Amino acid sequence: MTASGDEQLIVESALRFTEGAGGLRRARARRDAWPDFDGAVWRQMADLGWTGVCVSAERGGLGLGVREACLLLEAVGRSLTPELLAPAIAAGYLLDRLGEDAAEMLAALLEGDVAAVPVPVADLSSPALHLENVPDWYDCTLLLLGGSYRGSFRVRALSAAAPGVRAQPIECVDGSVLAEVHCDDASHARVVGSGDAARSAFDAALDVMRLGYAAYLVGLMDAAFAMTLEYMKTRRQFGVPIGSFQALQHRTASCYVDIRSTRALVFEACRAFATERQAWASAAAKARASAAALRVTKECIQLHGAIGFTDEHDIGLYLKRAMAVAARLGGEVGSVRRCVEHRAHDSEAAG
Amino acid sequence: MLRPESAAERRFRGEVRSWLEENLPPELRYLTFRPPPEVIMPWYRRLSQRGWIAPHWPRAWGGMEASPAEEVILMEEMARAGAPDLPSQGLNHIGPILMRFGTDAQKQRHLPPIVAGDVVWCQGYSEPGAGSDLAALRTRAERRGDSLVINGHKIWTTWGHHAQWMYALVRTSVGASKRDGITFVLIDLSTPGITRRPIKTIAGDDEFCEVFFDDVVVPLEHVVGEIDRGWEIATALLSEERLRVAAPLQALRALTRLHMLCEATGALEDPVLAARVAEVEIETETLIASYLSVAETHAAGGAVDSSYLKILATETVQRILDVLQEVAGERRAVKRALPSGDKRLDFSEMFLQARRLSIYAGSNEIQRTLIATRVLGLGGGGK
Repeated sequence: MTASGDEQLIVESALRFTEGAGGLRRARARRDAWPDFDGAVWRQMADLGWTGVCVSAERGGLGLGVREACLLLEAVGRSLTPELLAPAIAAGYLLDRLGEDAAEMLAALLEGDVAAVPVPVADLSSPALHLENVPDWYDCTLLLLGGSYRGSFRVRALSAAAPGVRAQPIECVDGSVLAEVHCDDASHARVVGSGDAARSAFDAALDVMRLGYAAYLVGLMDAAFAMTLEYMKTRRQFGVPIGSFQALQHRTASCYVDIRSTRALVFEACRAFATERQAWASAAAKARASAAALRVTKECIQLHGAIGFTDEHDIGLYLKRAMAVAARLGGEVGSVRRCVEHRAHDSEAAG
Repeated sequence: MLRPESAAERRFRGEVRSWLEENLPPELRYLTFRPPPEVIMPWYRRLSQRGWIAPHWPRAWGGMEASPAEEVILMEEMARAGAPDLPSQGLNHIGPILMRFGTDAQKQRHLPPIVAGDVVWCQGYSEPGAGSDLAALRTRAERRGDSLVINGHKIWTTWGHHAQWMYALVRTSVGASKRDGITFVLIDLSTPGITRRPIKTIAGDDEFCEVFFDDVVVPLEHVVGEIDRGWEIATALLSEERLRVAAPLQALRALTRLHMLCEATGALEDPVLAARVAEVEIETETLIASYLSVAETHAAGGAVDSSYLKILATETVQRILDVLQEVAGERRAVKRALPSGDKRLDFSEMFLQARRLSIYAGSNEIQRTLIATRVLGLGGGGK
């Protein structure tokens, strides 16, 4: 599927901005600056409208759909942009749908004052919170916790800066962060949504995030692959470029099949958004993209040989980021499990 | 198909579904083998009369000019109803070639019988010494007056013993390159001097055969394009043909069989098998999405990069049938499909038949070499 004119603009501006911000060099620098967050660049991204891609125009967003969001994420994934954006875009989608109660939070997200992350929680009934593996935990993080509350559903906004919040950040191989978060009394955390409408908005936001991560992984693996192809055309052994060896060519072709087909699935899954196949489709896209990105980036290291095993070479950055993003909201196995759970009513729809 | 359907598409799906329900004979449902012409061709003609035999053909020649989404709907419903595999060499291969390169007389003579189901075609490309290296073919055609006289040997000819006509590549001269001097010709298989011998496959069927030519006289009017320039014709539409080979129909059919077996055995209660099934369901939607994307690019006049689709489609079918074999469990090696209610449960037949998919229409290794050298720009000819 080809991009329309507007879509082309989004992609080009994303590529221009991420390259201008430093591209892979910046990805490496940010990794080494862990656990620091680059608030200045985050604000610039917000200024470009990226946190509000899926926020309606009346509320100050770009008013675009998940397809456009995924095109943007695919583009920023190419240079391993450390700000993954998918959580913020999903958060924007969610806050927009939650209406007036969430207006203030939404404004802060659109300004780039906070980095909002929707986090599913089993139960929000008790005031004490203990959360594991919370992604993107920085001083400016705003968690949007969605979970059941006394038989109903609630979304609460918990700021990393709120009193009583303690966190233990854990460093990941790509410079991203997972945190263990404690809060003895989260009852002060603002309720920004409740009831069935909030539940369905929250579930949909998680699906936006799944699709977004999948799109980021598509851009990531395609860029890793392009770097590898370049290497195969220039690196010589036995007097010829290694790209002329059939054993390597066939593995390269398999990567190409993997990338193209995953991309097709991700953008087809975008079309299932807001239909009865949304849950299955976004889980399928996340499963396929997680598996393919790991397959491709591992293969890219192998095709580089020893230089690919050095920290100095950039190809390893792709594998490490793929590991971190694949793990989000359930990797391949977690996403396949979700597909199993959503099979029943989908197979009805598919006949 | 994951995308939502338009009102017209939903209507079309409903029409196809109820028509198949009423018109597809029970004895033709959920077969594992393609039945012989006397069994399958009446069904082919029925589809033709309904107007659904040639979704991708122009209306002028009896086609539907279907959109890629409509094609997928048709395939999904055919698979769901258990519709049998049809002979497709006419519809997918020689038909489109004649539309582009045939003379008016050739089109008028050959296209209507393909759509009507009056003539079955086969492809005379491979030879014992020319498989992946197709241009090494040696079946000779000598010009004698207004005719070509053909001597040689074709092999792996799908449905060759059931067909009335063959389109073939023959050598008319020895040129600078082995691709020169090849001629594309249509052969009436009732011509004297032709011997056909069916070959039994590892799946136990006789889907293909070998064909011997002994002084077979073919009038020059049956040459398509110019003498000695047949290679260009054979390859001009290759990527479009491959697009048809790579349609998700076979994967959908295999997935239907897998679902039937799961239902009969309760396999989805087992979380390991349930995950395996979910994985191939994801792969099937990945294939459909890829097919739609390539077919839409093709419909919009863009270049068709179908090698990747051929690999994806055939390997998806094989993966589905690998899972089917796991679900079959101890019955993995059971030879014939067994009746189960009004259906038949397949254990091994489609799995064995599917070995051919990654071999025919240019082996998947050839496709990978094509991707590496032509699409990705890796040099060295890939040998």
